[in-house]
Amino acid sequence: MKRREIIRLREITKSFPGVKALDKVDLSVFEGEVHVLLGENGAGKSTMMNIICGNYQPDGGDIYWNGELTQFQTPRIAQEAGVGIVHQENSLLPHLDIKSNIFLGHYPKTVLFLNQRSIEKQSRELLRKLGLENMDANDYVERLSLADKQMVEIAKAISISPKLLLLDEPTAALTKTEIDILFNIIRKLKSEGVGIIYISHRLEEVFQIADRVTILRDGVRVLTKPVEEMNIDSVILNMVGRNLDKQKKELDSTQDQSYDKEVLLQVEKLSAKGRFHDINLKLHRGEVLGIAGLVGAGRSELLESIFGYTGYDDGEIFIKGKKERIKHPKDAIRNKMALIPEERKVKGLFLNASVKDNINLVTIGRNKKRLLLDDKKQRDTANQYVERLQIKTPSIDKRIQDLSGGNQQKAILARWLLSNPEILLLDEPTHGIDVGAKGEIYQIIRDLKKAGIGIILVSSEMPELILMSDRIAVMNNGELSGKLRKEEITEENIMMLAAGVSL
Amino acid sequence: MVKDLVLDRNTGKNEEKKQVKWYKKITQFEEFGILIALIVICAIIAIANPIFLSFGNIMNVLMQISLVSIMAVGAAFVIITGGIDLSVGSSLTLGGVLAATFYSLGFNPWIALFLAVLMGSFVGAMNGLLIVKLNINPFITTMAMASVIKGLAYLITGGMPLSFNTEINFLGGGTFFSIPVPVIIMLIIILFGHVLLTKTIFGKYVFAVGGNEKSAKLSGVDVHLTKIKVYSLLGALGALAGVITACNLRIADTAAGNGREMDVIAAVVIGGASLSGGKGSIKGVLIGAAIMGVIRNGFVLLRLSSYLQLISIGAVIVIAVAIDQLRKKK
Ligand SMILES: Nc1ncnc2c1ncn2[C@@H]1O[C@H](COP(=O)(O)OP(=O)(O)OP(=O)(O)O)[C@@H](O)[C@H]1O
Ligand SMILES: [Mg+2]
Repeated sequence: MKRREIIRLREITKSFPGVKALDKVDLSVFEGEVHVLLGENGAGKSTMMNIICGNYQPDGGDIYWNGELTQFQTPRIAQEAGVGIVHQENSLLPHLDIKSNIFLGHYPKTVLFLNQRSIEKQSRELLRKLGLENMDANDYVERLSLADKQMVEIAKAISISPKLLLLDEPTAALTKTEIDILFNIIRKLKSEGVGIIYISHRLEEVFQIADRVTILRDGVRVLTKPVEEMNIDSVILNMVGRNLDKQKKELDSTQDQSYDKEVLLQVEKLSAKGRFHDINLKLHRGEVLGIAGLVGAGRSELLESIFGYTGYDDGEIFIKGKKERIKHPKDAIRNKMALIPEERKVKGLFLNASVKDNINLVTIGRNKKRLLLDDKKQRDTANQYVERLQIKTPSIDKRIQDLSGGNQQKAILARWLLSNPEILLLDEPTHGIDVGAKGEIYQIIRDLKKAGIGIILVSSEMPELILMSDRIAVMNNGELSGKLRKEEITEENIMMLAAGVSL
Repeated sequence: MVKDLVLDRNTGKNEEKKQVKWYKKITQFEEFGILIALIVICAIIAIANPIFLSFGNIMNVLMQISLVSIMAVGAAFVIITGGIDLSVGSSLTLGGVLAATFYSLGFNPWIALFLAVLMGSFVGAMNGLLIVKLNINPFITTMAMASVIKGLAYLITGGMPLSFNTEINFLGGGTFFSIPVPVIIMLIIILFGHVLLTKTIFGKYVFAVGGNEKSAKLSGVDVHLTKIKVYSLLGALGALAGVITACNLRIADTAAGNGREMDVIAAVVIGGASLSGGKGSIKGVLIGAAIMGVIRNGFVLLRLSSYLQLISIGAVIVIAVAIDQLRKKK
């Protein structure tokens, strides 16, 4: 049986001011195929997705849909043809409920009024089909965790019964449980003949679901191959254009599990109603304390409370042994804390502002020259960090909105590294970051650790957590279900505690 | 060590920095579109009636836009934080009435001016407080506040105009080297606003709050305090405009500020600010106010109906915003 090609893109080219995002890229997807698209941050993956779903128009090249030359002038046209997409950044409307979000743009046709009842029924069915029975279709999206929002996003893309499904980093915000659900969905869609383009920076996933792999580098297609002909090393080599071995070895050799006795941050009996309860933690100088847990376990909430973003009802916070009442992030910053939040678009970025302003905001006071701010200092600082973190942008005056997802994340990292924190709270710091840059961020964490900074690391990526942490605290349902010393850290132990089973 | 690791990586970012041509630079200048619009409008009027370009007439136009510009500087701060203030017209009224009242109570007129501006900033701060503490929508809050202030002004005056004949009347009616004093005050306020917005920490915080409140808070910006400050600044400038008006007319009238808030908001919006916050400039405010002033003046010079004038100002607002949207798309 010869499988049919759903889509074929020929020599797609797309430029933005100052960058050639795509340069004559070819890509095709067969029925029932999972085609994984890989590449570093800014390689052009999301741009390609935006072209397929009609959001951007290519400068050159052809799109063949079911063998016929087509143009997707608008997202609407692409959707009607059967293209479903989960964008890299959340695109749900927070003030609407789940069912309205799912059906927005393609409500079932009725004569006059929306048939709320039927929409609710269909949403519920869809959620059940996706293994999300515990979600209520009437819940408002703003109340959902990032992971649940992501699952709704997936449900939304599937609700149009797509022939081609585009998934742009769908798992970046998910933990293992949801990823398993997603992979089951993907397998099912595959068996129904749906073609899928899948983007991820979690390379181990590639070998679980890919049929073919295409690698982009700086907007150019490097290769397309069946997954059987690839292994993780060749994938990385082709993505990055060099071997990461040296870096990896260096990282392993600097693995130093010791930390100081001095307690930088102590949290005692911290509680916040409905979010977490009775949390006790100690963070030492030069320690990386990992926090594990399933989605909704209260990890991000805990960090945000410690940082003064959302208050707490009960308990105490000590910094270097001194009791501090942290009511606002500015109090936390005064105490040399930094928080890199999970949802960068909602809680980190100023989308309309320049890269320069995004980087400089927290430490803006340092650029004073007498009474006024000195623009040159701000530019120098921004340029220096763009260089240091290899943030890919044509200039620091570019709006940060126009940067690729991973590069936006690096800019936020720059903002907080600049503040020279002693206590660094990291909430999914490598969210959307490519392998090479991930290694660099790990190295930075190691260097900060060596410099005596205490780091709390929340991560859903188990390998990352295990690699980086000196100790791991596990949360379950808003409570601390256990703490693991380095020698006790195993995936099984973490999973057990996360599920609420005591060891 | 971080550096070494990072530097051997070639991502092609450091491509040669192209020398940007001067004309490109100008077209990238945010206010380019409306500046061209202003020039075109001026050219048309000047061709139709050369008097337009006479020194006297130019001063006349500047004089007419001075009050709106002064208030619009404050309104720009409010709008950039994502807020809006419908009470600035009433602040103007209150400012004049208070200055005249304090003066009639025997205060030195300079002190009366100072107290009026202080009260204006206090009323503005009240706006801000209500908005952040009770979390009421600024549209509603300031609309209600407008009514309260106006009521206060009537209570104080009993509805009768108060006379304001003092040694500071030159602030409204005097000239300095043939330039009307209000125009000079306007230029000072504009310069002050521009520096405050672009060259101070406060200015950066104003943009941050309007750009993304959550991110701003997490970056250590005191969002509440920033908002209270911008409304307070606007209240003070509103009252200042009120005192200048009273100086000019030699009376403080309870109807002085009626409807002025719309001109103020229009100037800011024509000047390129976005009502959803995070975007705007003081240069834009000046150009926006100038466009409105020039159109009004042109209609008088060309002896056209003042009804047409209303229509064309509405059209300009829509066109200005539309141009801005188109530029964004590109
Ligand atoms: N709307 C835009 N305007 C200007 N430049 C853009 C725009 N969108 C993307 N770019 C640029 O195009 C390049 C490719 O970006 P793209 O988002 O496709 O990268 P990506 O491969 O998805 O990266 P990531 O893994 O970080 O998400 C980047 O250099 C980016 O800065
Ligand atoms: Mg992307």
